[in-house]
Amino acid sequence: MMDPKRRRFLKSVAMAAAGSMVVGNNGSLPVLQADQAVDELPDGDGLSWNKAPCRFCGTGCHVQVGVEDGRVVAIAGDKAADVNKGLLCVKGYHVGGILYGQDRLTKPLLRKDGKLTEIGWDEAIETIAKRIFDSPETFAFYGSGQWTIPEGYAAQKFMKGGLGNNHIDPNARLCMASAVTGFLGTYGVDEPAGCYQDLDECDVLITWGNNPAEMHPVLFSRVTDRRSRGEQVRIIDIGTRRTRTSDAANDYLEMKPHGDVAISLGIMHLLIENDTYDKSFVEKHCNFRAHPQAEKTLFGEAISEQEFRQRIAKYTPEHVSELSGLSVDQIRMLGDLFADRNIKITSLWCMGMNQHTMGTAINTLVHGVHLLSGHFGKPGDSPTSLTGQPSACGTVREVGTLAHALPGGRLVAKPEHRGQCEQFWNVREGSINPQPGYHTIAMFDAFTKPTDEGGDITTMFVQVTNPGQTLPNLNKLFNDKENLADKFLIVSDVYPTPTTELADLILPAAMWVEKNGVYGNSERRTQQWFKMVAPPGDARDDCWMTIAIAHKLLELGHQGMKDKDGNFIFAVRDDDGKEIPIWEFEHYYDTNVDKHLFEEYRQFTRMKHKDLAPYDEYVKARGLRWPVVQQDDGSWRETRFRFSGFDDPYVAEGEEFDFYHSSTNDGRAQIWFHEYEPPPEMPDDEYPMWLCTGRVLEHWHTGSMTRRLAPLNRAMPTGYVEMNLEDAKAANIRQGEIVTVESRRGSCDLPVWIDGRGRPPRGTIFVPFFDETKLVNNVTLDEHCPISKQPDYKKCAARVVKKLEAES
Amino acid sequence: VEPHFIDILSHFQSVAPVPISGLVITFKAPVEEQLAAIASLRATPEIELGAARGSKLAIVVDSEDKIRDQEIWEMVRALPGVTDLAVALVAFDDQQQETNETFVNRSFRRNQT
Repeated sequence: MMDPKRRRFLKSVAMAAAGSMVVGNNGSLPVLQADQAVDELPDGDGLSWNKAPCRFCGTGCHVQVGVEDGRVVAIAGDKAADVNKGLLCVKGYHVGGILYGQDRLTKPLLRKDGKLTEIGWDEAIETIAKRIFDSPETFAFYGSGQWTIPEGYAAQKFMKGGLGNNHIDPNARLCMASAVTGFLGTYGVDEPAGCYQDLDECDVLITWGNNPAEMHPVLFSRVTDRRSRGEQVRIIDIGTRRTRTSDAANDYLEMKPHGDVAISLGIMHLLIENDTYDKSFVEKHCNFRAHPQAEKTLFGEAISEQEFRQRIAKYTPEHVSELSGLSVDQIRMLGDLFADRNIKITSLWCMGMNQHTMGTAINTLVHGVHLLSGHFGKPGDSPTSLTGQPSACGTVREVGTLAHALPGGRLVAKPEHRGQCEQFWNVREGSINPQPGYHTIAMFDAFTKPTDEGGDITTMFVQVTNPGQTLPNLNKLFNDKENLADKFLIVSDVYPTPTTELADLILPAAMWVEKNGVYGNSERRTQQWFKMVAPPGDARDDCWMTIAIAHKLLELGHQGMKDKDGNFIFAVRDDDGKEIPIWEFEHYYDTNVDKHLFEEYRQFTRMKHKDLAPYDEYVKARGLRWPVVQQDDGSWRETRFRFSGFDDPYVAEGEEFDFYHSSTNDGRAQIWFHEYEPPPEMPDDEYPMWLCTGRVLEHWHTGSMTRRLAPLNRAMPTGYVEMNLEDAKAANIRQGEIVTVESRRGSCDLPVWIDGRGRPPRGTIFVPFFDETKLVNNVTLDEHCPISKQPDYKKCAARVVKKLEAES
Repeated sequence: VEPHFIDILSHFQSVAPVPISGLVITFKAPVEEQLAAIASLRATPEIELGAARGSKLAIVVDSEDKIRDQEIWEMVRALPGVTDLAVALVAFDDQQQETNETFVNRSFRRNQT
């Protein structure tokens, strides 16, 4: 029988969640309010509070973590945090519990004769180092947007500066690579110009294939809360299925898959056709751009305004209506909206536009719509992408843990960039390989393909991510690993996952407040926290693992692990100049390794004007948005709006705008033209349904953390396939029936949820990917954007088969 | 009438204890016009009414056994004017996290192709 006190508590939590869906957020989501200010939090005997960003999504909410007797016992929203002002979503409210699942990995495990056997850390590190030493060029490091900035920086330096190996790529390739190439192609430099303040000041919010009500609930609440205060905010949801965001929207515009490309072209057509584009802004600040005929490239070639006009001419509302599924009136409505310069429009997107075989194209087109219409660079008037991981921006995009990149926006292919990095790292000239390494899809293809068939990655180290669940087309890109005895998979994680299931060596990792960390969120905000509790058993920091492997390689005689002066590349010295043996875990916290790495990394950030403040400034703040520039009085000032003269310190005084990293070196942004292309796989007689995959409110990504949280897991205990009622009726499929979802690549058994939380139109099904027992990525497609290399998880052809039929 | 998806969730929670559910009822018209439905909800001792706005009403259901829980769910869905019943949070008696039996010893790829 439940303790009555606990029962009352659970009832209050349930009522808070339900109430917030009704009152706080216009029916869209559960967001819970911390009921006390930070300085009012109880701190009785032994209970202490400290700040940390939430471990889950890219929003970057701050929490206050309550620790007692070496254990996290309470979580409160941090009212001092500008991002969330004390609010937390239902996942954030439970974030402390992710440390305490009963199946935490606590010992290194080596597969011997097919069985995982406990080993010590010395053997684990030596095993890895020897494999790398024997064949450094066939080693690959697969990382994450959940890596902290110091972790990613250490991995980057180890691979590119130490090993001269560029086969390092992150899971963020799967979630935001197209946003990166979209920003680069448009502004010549990555990451949003605006910030979350846009959500507080826009008159119109357009969500492009985006469901922030469930995926970024605290951010969405900033908009819906304005309505509850009587402000008029029009929400226009453009999507392929109805979601909780649609429920809160004034207009729901249902498009066909790839319809977003046609819609943006249609808006630009109307702005030109009706002569309602912002001539002054375009004339002063923009160029026109398109791909050369021969091939698609990131920066394309210049076209004239006249050429742009000719190319856009065919995207009439009628033609766009055919391509997109929107009505002519809806397209004209959008055209009129962007023509109105008396309103402020913010566009928001995330996976819908990024996981797209035209990902770079649609990103640049939406930027282009804003530029052409002049809806840019004022608070509330901005195109803004969101990220799904807590440091996809900080660690991947800024540290540059991508196969082609170097820290601070540099590229391995550019000799001057390699030279700068070699100088910062004090490594020998020519240490950095000029050839880009394998991007994620190519990396796993090379790892799971037999060596004698060209699969030239033989050892892979996976940190802080779960590719055995998240890669598309798992049968091609991951599952074959099981049959390849000469391939060696090392996985560092906190819990068993479908990735650890095929690992040869599993390393138990410390997580979140069990270690020091720095994240960078979606609005350029860098956030620091300190270790608060010890990890369980022998679990250790990922950053330490990288440094320990590097030192073991040094001991084995690998020359790349020494700098030009013969010192270990990760050497840290105490005040007396004596080297601290941070590669020995018992000495790792003799100093703040994060601070050393961050201060070293900081010098890389100025070239692209992404200046970071000293580490200690972040200790004091709830994050700072770069560029963070020192003022005459010695204080550090963050930047809310880049490229805008009223706020960006790098725009010359008197200038309204300056795109100072323009790819055309003239201070201008690029308005792109792209021809509409159909999706690479379309429904047909054999596979008649569109399959879209995605996330749910209760679980974060693959569920490896949230599935351990009983309240969340029991609120959403299983993956499912969402079907339209008419499709279900036509196939004689009943609510809850187990069906097989099949494509040309694989299948997955799922219960059916007819017209559930999301409501797909006829001919469309939706499956979330959080359930590790129902791997929908056996079904998805690995086709990807030719520029960003990001796969399309949002559309492929599939069929739904009744289980008995499938078995027969 | 199609069963709600919560029935499916219940199927997957065959050993789960009785939940305390935070729910949101959506009516066809504003809550204040739903006099008959509100009266029925108030007359049900296991239901506690919460915030209301527009056509949405927050409630908590706290029942003693699973059969009664199911009856209440069906009763709420059948009330006049109800168009949707959404789950905000389901809390359970069992404080345990998922266990080794449910994760470590599971083959994630079993029965999948």
